[in-house]
This record gives sequence, structure tokens and C-alpha cells, in this order.
Amino acid sequence: MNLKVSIAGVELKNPVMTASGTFGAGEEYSEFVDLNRLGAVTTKGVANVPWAGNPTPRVAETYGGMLNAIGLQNPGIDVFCRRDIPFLKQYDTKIVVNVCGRSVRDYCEVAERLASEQVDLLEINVSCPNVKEGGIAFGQDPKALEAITAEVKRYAKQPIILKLSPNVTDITVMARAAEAGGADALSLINTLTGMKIDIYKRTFALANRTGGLSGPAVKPVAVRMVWQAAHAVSIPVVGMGGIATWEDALEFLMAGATAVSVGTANFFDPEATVKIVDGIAAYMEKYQVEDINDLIGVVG
Amino acid sequence: MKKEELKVMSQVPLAEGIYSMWLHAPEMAAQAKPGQFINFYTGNAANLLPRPISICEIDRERGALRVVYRVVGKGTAEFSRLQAGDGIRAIGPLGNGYFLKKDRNALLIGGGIGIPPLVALAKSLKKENPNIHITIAVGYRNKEQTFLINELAACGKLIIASDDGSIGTKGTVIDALREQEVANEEAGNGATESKSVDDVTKEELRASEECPEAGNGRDDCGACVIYSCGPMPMLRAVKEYGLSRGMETQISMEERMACGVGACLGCVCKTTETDEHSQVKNRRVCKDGPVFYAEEIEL
Repeated sequence: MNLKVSIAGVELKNPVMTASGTFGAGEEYSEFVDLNRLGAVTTKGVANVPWAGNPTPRVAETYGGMLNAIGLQNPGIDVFCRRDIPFLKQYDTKIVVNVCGRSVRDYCEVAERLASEQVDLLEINVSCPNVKEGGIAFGQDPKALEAITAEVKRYAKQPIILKLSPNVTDITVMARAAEAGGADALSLINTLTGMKIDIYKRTFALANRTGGLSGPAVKPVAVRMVWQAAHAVSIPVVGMGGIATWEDALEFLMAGATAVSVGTANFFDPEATVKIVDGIAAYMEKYQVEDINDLIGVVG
Repeated sequence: MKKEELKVMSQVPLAEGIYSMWLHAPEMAAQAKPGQFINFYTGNAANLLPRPISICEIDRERGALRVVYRVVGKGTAEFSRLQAGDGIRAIGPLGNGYFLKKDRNALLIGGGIGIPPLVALAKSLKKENPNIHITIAVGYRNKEQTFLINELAACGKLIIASDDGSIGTKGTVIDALREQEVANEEAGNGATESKSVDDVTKEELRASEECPEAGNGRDDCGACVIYSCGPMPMLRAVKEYGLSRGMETQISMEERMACGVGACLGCVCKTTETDEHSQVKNRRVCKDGPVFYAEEIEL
């Protein structure tokens, strides 16, 4: 039985990854999960310099999901390279570094810095809804998206995955723009912009007012967008958005995702990722599927 | 840190909306320290974030933990319906807990649902060193909303405040502490009335000898370390009270959390200096705290 999949020439032992921002750089969850069992760990977004993030409250629970407005707090690329990459290198899993910035120059600086590091893939975050500059600004305009993709591609040594926002009118336009810019793969969806009001305090639940919605509540939207994007481009798609179980993961694979990322579910069950790996394998055994790749995009 | 399916041993209401639950949690109990917390998961993914609840008592012999919590939403309402024999998913113990200074007199300050962790703390301090004086100042909404009074009174001198004055001093815990200071000054007594002059002198000596880094800090309760937990306005007042008296002041912070293990950066608090881990002026309440020294954080 084969669980291996390939993203832009990088072979993952199985299609299950962690979603950026929900798993730190792996250390915190390594007490619960054997990281060797994961296809890849995607790290929290990292910028060229440390970012302090947004004021608190930064998180709020919603029905079947949550809102977050962390604001891409990160320690900066220097500390990340010194501390977080060596930690992850202890494990037999692929390393995907999520890259964020305020300007095209910021993204390129991080990509350039990572060129000499032992990481496998870069995920370019052009879809964070919680920062004023950068982030989603690049992910909602196809011209800007194509331009930043092409520019980062010039500096990146590793293949780049463009992480797309669902907060757009037509995801296929954005998917094609990233592909045209030279993206090696796509990942989607980032969070959906949302809002929650605290009726007792009569104010916003989040200090940032709006936040990104994630968790099981967004899954049908995500499956639809992954299916659309996978049909729009010929590069691989990493599917994510509300995956909490192996059944969810299989939906994304069948919709056309080559791999999947598990995010918010880690908060509900720290072992969610490995349970999904086991569940997919059990499904394949039960239904005599020899190769996971035979399930990818099977719905047509 | 352990992930366990815990068994409820017993659950009783202590006051309106306040519940006390004993859980069979041998591995967690073996590791737990006062001031740490447990993340409890609901049985329903519609309420998907874990609920962080502080540890109220640690019973290693029985392999049991006690939590006392307030029902504030759907998750805690679900927990309040659990009965003996029911299971609950949890991870913990999380966070670092209080820095126990077993040779120093202690002033524990708690407000509302910040009071429960002070029970485990007071018991540990008393067990580690029966000779130190422990003063516990707690604030409740009113007499009907009191809980854990017997447990706290067994560990030291108890000072109570309530919002409406139906029990103890009317006002905040800080009001009650100030009232105590005035009473002590009028009585010409540096510490509790039950002690002899010799005891008081010894206490003063101990305080001055053993708190060099805290500037010989000591208030009129004869305490030189403050351990606190409660709502933000109380914590701000505690910080001011403690630092203005040169006392070592430990504050347990509360913030909206998601993961509870330090991964998501949801629950940060502002710090006065750049933090080694974050590289910015904030720290994670769940992982780096929840207890911090007052001078390290901005409230």
C-alpha cells in the first residue's frame, strides 16, 4: 500500500501535513505527536524581522470553529533558522516554511535567507486576513499575486507553494495567477474573514474586530474551492480548511488535493494528525486501494 | 505533560454557578504543581477549543486532582453535568505554576474564580514549611458566592472582602488588606494578633534576612512574597500594592486561549522586556506563564 505523494518533486511519506500557525514549529506538539509520522510540518509564518502581532483577545470560539487574529506574530527569520529549523531536522518529516512579509522585498529577503537552509518547501502566505500591510493584499489582486510569485521565485531555492485566500470572488482566477507567476504548488484555503460580537460586553470579541474563521464550520467551502482550484491549474494543490478527521481528509484528496493540512483540529485533539494518517491507511486497506494517488481527484 | 481520559470521581456545586470536581488523574496528579492548569475538551466539536481550568487541589496518594470552576458558557455547562464515573478528555498539567518560596512568609491574594489555585498553593507551602506564616486574602461577590473558605482557613490567616460587604470587608481584597494594615498599626502590632511579640520579631528577622532581592519587602501581614490570581483590575491593584512595598509579587494571568500548549500565540501578555522565545515584548500565558513576576509584565 502506498501512502506517498509528491509536491513539486518533494516526496512526502503520507499526505498529512500541519497547517501553518496552528502547530508552532512543531516543538510544542511534539509531546503529543510523533512528528516522524507526519508527511510534513508547516511552520508558523516567519518574516524577515520579528513581528509583535495584534493586541489580545486574539482568539474566539464560534460554532464549530474559531476566529483568530494573531497578526502573524513571529520571532523573525534569524531566530527561526537558529532555533526552529534545527529542532525540526531531528525528525524524519519534510519541512515547509510559511513565509510572510509586509512588502515584496520582505518576502524575497526571507526566501533568500532560506535558500541555504535545509528546508523542503516554502509556503508563501499572501492570504493572512489579520495584518494591515502585506498578507491578503497580495492575495486578492491577481496581478499583484502573479507579480509577487514571480519575484519570490527568483530568490527561492526550494519549490514555492502559494497559499491562497478564500476571500475572493473567483478562486480560479487567483489560482491561475499564481501558476502564471511560476508557483510550484498552491495551498488553500486560508481563513475566511469573520466577526464575533460579545453581547455582554457589547463590543467585538477580538481586539482586531475581524478575524480568520477556521475549523469544521468552513470545510464545505474549502472542499469546493480546492476542487475548483485543482481543475483550474496543473500544479499540485494542498487542501486545508476544517479538516478534523480522516473522512474530511479523504474528501479533500478526492476533490483534487495532493496533500492535506490539519490546523484548528490540533486544538481540539492534539493527536488529530496521526489519527488522520491511520484512518486514511485503514480506509485504503478496507477498500483495497493500493496507491493513495489513485484517490486524488477521483470525483472528476 | 499528559493526555488522559480522566474519570470523574465526584462533582458538587459550591455556590451558584461554581462547581467542584474531583478527577481520577494519576499521571497528571504525579506531575502537577500549584498554579498549573488543565485543558479540558468538550464532547462536542461545535465547542472545539479546550477549556483551561486551574488546579485547585493535588492529591498524589489518591492520584486525584480537584478543579473548581465557574460555568461561563456551553463548555463549562457541559462539564457541570458530569457525574461520578463519567469520562472527560484532558491534557495537562500545563504552564509553569507558582514559584514556591518555601522559606518566606506568604501573602496569597485571590479574587472570584481566581481563588481555587490558591488552595493547592497554600497547602503546598504549608507542607513544605510549616513554620512560615501564610496570609490569604480573597474577594468574593457576596456571601452567597463564597467557596473554599474552609480549605483556605485551614492553611493560614484568612482575610475576606466582598463587593457588597455581606461577608468581610466591603470592597476589594486590597481594601481588606489596607484595613488590616491600619488595624495592625493601631494595635501596634506588626503581624496577626494571635502571635506573641517574639514570634513577630522572628518573623521580621526572617523577612529581612531572606528577602534581599525583594528589597526587604514586607507588609504588615509579615509576608514577603505575594502570590495572586484573579481578574485584571485586581491584578493591577496587586501589582501596585506589592511593588510599592518592595515585595516579590507573583501574578497568575488569564487570557483567551486556543491551543493551551504555546503553539498558536493566541494568549500572549505584554512584557516589559523583549522575550527570548518570541523576540518581541510579549510572552505566552499558557506556556511561559500563567504565573509571572509582576515587574515583568504590563497590565
